[in-house]
Amino acid sequence: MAESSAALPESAALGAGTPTRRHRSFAHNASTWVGLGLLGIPLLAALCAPLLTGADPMALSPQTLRAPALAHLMGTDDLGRDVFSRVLYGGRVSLIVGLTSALIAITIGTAVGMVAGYFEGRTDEVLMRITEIFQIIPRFLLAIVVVALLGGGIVKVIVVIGVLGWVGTARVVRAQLLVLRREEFVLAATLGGASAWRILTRHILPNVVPFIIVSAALQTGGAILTESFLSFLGLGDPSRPSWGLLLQQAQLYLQQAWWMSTFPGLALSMTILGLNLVGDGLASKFGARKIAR
Amino acid sequence: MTETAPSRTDAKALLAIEGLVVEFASAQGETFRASDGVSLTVAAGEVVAIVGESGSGKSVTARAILRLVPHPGRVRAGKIMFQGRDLLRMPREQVRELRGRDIAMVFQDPMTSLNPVLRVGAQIGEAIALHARLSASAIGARVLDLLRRVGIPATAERAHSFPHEYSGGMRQRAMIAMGVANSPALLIADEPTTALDVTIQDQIITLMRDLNRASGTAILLITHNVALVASLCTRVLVMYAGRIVEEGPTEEIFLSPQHPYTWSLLRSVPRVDTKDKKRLLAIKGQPPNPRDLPPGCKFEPRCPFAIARCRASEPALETVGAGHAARCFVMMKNAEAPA
Repeated sequence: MAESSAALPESAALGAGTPTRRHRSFAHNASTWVGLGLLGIPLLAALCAPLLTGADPMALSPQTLRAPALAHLMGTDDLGRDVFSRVLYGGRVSLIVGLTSALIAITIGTAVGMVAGYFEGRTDEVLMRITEIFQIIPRFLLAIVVVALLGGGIVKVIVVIGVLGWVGTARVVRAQLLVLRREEFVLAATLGGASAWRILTRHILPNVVPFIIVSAALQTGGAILTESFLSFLGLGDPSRPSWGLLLQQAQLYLQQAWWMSTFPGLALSMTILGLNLVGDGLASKFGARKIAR
Repeated sequence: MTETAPSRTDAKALLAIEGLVVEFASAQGETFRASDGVSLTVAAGEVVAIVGESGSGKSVTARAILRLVPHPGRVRAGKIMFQGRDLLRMPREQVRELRGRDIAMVFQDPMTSLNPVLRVGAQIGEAIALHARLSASAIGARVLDLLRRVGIPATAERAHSFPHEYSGGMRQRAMIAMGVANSPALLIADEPTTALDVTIQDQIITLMRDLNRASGTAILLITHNVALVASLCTRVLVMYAGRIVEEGPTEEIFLSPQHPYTWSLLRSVPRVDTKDKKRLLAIKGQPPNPRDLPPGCKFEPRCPFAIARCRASEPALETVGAGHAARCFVMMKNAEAPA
């Protein structure tokens, strides 16, 4: 017994993997972990907003344009509202818009890419031409036009960003499908009598998931940025202030009140950078180097 | 065309292919035939081999049986009768139901024919679930039973493993388990042992023989491995340039091959069971380019016994014995040894 327990630590050390392998996985992970760290701060802050501040983000007060102090950690804006609370609650709006519109984009993109890549031929031609049409439309411009015409409710903004953002995912997924559909296990499933739907959902989809995850991370960042941009142009929903809207309102006070623009800007940058680092880290981990956005 | 081999008119045949022509068209509009007038039969419970070099059309013929000729190939003519119904004229949906239930297929490379992200048990289970309405627990039990039948130890745990946790031999066993999951009437094995090392090859052959004996599943074995044929099959078809050049009972093919190609093929394999130390013979030249076939016998340019007539016209498949036919003007029994 004593012998076997003495041998144990050594075998455990062997199981830890060779040094080169550890280094490589650390290189992948470094970017992912830094990204997660950057992303985690604004994400947690937005999630725990009611615990972190008692201030109502919409409550007006006579103390306008106060510099950051203990009472107002990030100062107050031109209407006396607490910037700290507005950044926290604004983060909720930005993140919700980002995640849900990315979800829409990913869903459409995956469906289009899988169908185009699997069936090839005419189906592929038609779907890819449609994809190209969406690709050449200037996304921001169309988003501006649509939101300007339909009004800037949060749901409309989400749908518009989602529907305009699926092209990248569709192309990545299609490229994977062109490879995967020639795999022998797909042929084996076909020979086993599986239908196209079953092959796509059960055999091929799990193989595409890593690419979808990477695409989702990048897509979320892009969507948050688009929303901020729309808000910055005054096309957001004023009753639900996002980071972009805060930045827009801060424009007039850039010289008097740096805190009004700096803190929402910082939160936005951290989130976008974080999402991109996570996306890139995962991409190199999955060996998916060429991920289109 | 002269119909000769008596087995071909066998009414009880499980599978009967008649005059199958599979054509491939290149982008330039050229066409060539990967399979040109192939006829063969497989009786219920029989083990038949198709032997030939790469590019002889054996795999294409096999894929045509399941209506999965690789793009851009097309079946141009012929009939594929399976249990009395013509597969080539069957609606797509019915063919799909047939696949995996009545006809199953095992591939060459078990490394790539299992889905890397699904557990092995789940993949075998799916093969069952596609064709039978069974509860999850009933399927689970059948998966374990199948794994046990193909000799995979510690099955409950192994069913939960991913393909990368399996060795090559185990993966091919798992593929065979998938193939026989629904007790098909016919199992098509396309070079099932090519990617495996010799000891594992032998185990897979034994396994296939046992499955054939136990459940009466007919096997159509596609291979270029002559040793495999000898130990497993009752009948052999030799293919060359999209044609069957010789067919007959395994023993006859081995003991008295009549087509010079079959003869050369056998002479090119080292044997340990005979005393005579004949030199190994390599077949000279390359398999013919299917876009540019010789006008007469397709083997004529490489044939050591060729006569003038071989260049002018192509011989028909002629009976030389009981169930034994060859496509040759000369025939080995009449041939003079090459100078």
